[in-house]
Amino acid sequence: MIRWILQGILRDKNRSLFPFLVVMSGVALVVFTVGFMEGIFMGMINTTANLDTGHLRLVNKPFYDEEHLNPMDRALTAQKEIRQWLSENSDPKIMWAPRIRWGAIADVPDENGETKSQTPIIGMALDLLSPDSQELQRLDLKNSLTEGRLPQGPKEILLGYELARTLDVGRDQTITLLGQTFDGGLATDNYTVVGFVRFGVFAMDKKMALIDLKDAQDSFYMENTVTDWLGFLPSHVSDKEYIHLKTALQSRLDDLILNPPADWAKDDLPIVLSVLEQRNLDNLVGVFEMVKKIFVGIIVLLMVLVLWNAGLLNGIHRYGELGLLLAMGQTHWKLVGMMAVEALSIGLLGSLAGCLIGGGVVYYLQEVGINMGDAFAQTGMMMNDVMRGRVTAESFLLGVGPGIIASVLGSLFASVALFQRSEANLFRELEAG
Amino acid sequence: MIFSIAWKNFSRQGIRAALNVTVTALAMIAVVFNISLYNGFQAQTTRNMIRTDVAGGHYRAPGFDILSPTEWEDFTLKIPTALKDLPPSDKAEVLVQQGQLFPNRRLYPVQMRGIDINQTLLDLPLEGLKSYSGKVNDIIPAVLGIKMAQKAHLKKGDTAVLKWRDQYGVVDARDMLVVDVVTMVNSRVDEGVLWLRLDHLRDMTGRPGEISWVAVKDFQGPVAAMEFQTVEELIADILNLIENDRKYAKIFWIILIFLAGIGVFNTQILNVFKRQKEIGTLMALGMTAAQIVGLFTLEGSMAALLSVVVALILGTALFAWFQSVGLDISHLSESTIPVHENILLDIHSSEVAATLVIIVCVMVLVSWLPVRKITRLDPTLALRGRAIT
Amino acid sequence: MLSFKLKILFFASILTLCLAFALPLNAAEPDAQKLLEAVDDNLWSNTKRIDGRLMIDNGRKERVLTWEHWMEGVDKAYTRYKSPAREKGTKMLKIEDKLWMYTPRTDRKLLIAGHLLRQSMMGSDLSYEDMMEDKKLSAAYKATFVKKEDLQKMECCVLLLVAHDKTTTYQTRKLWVNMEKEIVLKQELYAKGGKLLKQVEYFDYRELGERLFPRKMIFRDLLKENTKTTYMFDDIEFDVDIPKKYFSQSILKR
Repeated sequence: MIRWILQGILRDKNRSLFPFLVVMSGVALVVFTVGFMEGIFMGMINTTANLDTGHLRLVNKPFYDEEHLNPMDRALTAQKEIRQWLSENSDPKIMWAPRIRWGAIADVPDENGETKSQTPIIGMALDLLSPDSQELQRLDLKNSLTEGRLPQGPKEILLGYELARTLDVGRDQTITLLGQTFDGGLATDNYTVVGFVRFGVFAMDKKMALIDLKDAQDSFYMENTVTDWLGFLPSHVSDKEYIHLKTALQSRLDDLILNPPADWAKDDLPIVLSVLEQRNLDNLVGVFEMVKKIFVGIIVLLMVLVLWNAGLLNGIHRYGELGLLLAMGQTHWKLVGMMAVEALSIGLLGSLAGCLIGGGVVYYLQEVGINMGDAFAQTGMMMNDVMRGRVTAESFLLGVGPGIIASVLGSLFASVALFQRSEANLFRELEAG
Repeated sequence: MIFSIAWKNFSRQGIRAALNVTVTALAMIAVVFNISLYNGFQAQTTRNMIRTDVAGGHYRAPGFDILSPTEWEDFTLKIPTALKDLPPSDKAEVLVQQGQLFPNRRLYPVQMRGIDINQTLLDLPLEGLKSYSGKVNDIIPAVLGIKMAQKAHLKKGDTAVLKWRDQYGVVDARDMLVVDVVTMVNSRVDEGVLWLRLDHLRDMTGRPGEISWVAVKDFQGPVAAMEFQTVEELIADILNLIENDRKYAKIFWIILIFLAGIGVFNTQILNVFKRQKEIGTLMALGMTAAQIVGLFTLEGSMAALLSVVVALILGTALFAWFQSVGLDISHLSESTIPVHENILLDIHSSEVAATLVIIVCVMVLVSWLPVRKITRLDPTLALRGRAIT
Repeated sequence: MLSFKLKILFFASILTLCLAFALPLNAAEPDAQKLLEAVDDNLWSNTKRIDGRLMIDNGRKERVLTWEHWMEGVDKAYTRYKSPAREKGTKMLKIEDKLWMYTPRTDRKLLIAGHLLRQSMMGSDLSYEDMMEDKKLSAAYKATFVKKEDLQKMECCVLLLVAHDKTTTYQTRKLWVNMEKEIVLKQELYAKGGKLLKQVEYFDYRELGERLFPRKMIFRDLLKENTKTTYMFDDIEFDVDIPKKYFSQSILKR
């Protein structure tokens, strides 16, 4: 039976092509758009994660509580032990990167070495120099440079390009950072300005500087100490998993807290946070989910209507054929069933094709991306210039489900018309047809 | 004549015609809704910024930068008479200074924002400051936004030590009393901000008559020693954000129109195929191919024309309902977007007209595309229903 | 030259002695301003050199720094940190109202000015500004007698100090002064509005020539929790010869 239907579908293009095309384009559109929206959304999460919070963040609670002050003395020591612990206890998907958030006063000397200007700045220290470091890619530093080069040696600093302008410093100039050491003392150190960076976030462009992690540990006397452990997840991990990964890690952390490394202070208490819990992202997730639902709902509704129409057209197109089948003794119900199976097959095939097309485009976007240029420079949101798609199982489900349902529903609605036909008139109709 | 034939042909398609009309009308409504929602969002955001902070622009002390707290004390001015004499409904004097709050003996750097309590230009929920009757010498009344209160772990009635420097750099500190914790529709004037009475702040810092900026209702022309910042300059980042969002919304519109178009397109193809005999007959009766294409195109476009009517009726009902409820985005208030209350649509008739015209044009186009081939039909074959197989 | 100084000192001590005897007669209400001057004279000298320790306790950890300090009058001061290793070689030079810092790591002369002055000095409870005090208390403040009170088992006069100048960082202070020895046992620093901000306590006064000088001084920032900064003055010399270069910017080098 099914083989017969399939043959019919394949041989009679007129009966299958349009519904197939509609389902295909509908599914492709849903898959594409959901993937695209997911991509934009994940782009935002990833940018925030990469620049600021990681997908997961292991941080000392006393530090986190006073984060706005950059309290270096509340950083978490025993870096080596924690790295070891993380590699043994955290999900192997997570890549951990140690970082230091610091605050300092940047002192810019004049040609005589006398203080010319002083400005408070905030900064991030991360592994910029190791050959296998992925931090350069995470911050997309190569492409963010507006001038100069990336640090290649010790004590080199990158400045936000607006900050460089306020400080009135040029490349290769030496500036001095005055900050706080891990034990609360005064830290001073010289850095050579090697490049200017555009982060794309106004506040960061205006106040932010980047240095290498080892340099920061040296300058702020934070040997074996960092303020943050940022965990990064591969792009295929959905944001819905973050919370599970976080809980799993947090529960294991209890053991570490009970048997802490010798160097920890009494009140050190590491906690795990997911990116969604910070910078108000969880609210955005809510909005995003809502928009997605509305969008998919509208598309599915329209698709059902269009496919219903296609089913009706199909009924007209195959008026004769169906009449013949009825005349040959096929019951109405059987015919409806047959049409439904046909619609299901078309829905499946169309969905498959739609997934391939929509998914293909999204995959392209995911791997290559569209450069949005300067669009986000002023928004104050952490967004990357390159918009990317994201292939997710969810987008396929959102496409395929409605694709098949719409196809079958459309056909069922249309087949109601079958019942209006009486056998008595069939042959007259056939003769006329 | 052609119109009435087209109408008759169209209406006899029954449910199929109705479906095409519904789809097209829904697409129109969805697009207009989407555009208007963005308009509403933008209008509300702008309105909130204007209402709580920006007004019709700021006259600022030149060089003042809200991102450089350590310099706030260096960028204050005596209020120029040109601005001073404006009525309180036309200007709001604002003084911003750096302060240190010590809730639970922990340092929390704050922006002390003093605002003229008699001003009516900005709409801020500062009644708590106005009605505070205690002596200011002992304790400083302040109003906090909800977010700020949460971050600093303070609630209404709590006190915390507030420390600051006066005009000469002299250290001063007093207890600050949270007289009220309020909902700020604009989160930018919530987080990190301690709302004080301008007279108190001036008194505290020894800066009588001084301001960081004056928000004005209307531009008053150039004022000596001050720079004017327009509303657009002050909210540029938000406008930009919304503008970007609109770009993505366009993709959504294209998809909607595409789906609506595909229905009509489909119908038209089938029409030509099924009604070859009719076409042949019309040709035999002497109609030119172009006339027949016109007839069929008109028939297809009927869906679009009718959907305009349907969209207007349905849309009006839907929008009227929506305006009475609004879109609740209270969960967004936590983020940095300065909107708190429900979003209402902001419908621009020009945009509605443009949307309808564009969709109708697309529909006419997809009605015409499949019927073009009529011109290539052989009338004799068409009469026998064999022109297209 | 030296003999002239000695003469001055001699007269000063005579004067002090007279005052010391004079005070109990006026026990009901001592001359607060004169008492303050006497206290200043005891603490300040033309020149002095101090070897000391600075113990900074931020509530979690205590750091100990050792330093050497040279002072001439109230205008000039030079400090050199000797340990721990990371602070070793850090120098601070104050000349009149300017403060510079030198750290070997940067090999630069950094001007501590403006906003930076208000920051904590080396992580302690003192700001650079607190350290910059460039006037004797008796010159900057007008003292009045408040009451008598016992402190560290000594009878003290509580003096209220009100600044002459409206730019003085702390507009009022309270001093607990033992009249007999003309020494301060406690000092409180107030905000303009009268809120108590910082507290300094002086312990273990010992005789150094004709002066009494505390061995220990504890600073507390009362707005913060559990922090204190302790100065230990281990070795003090008064009226020493200080090489001129110590008060010149050229000292701020390696």
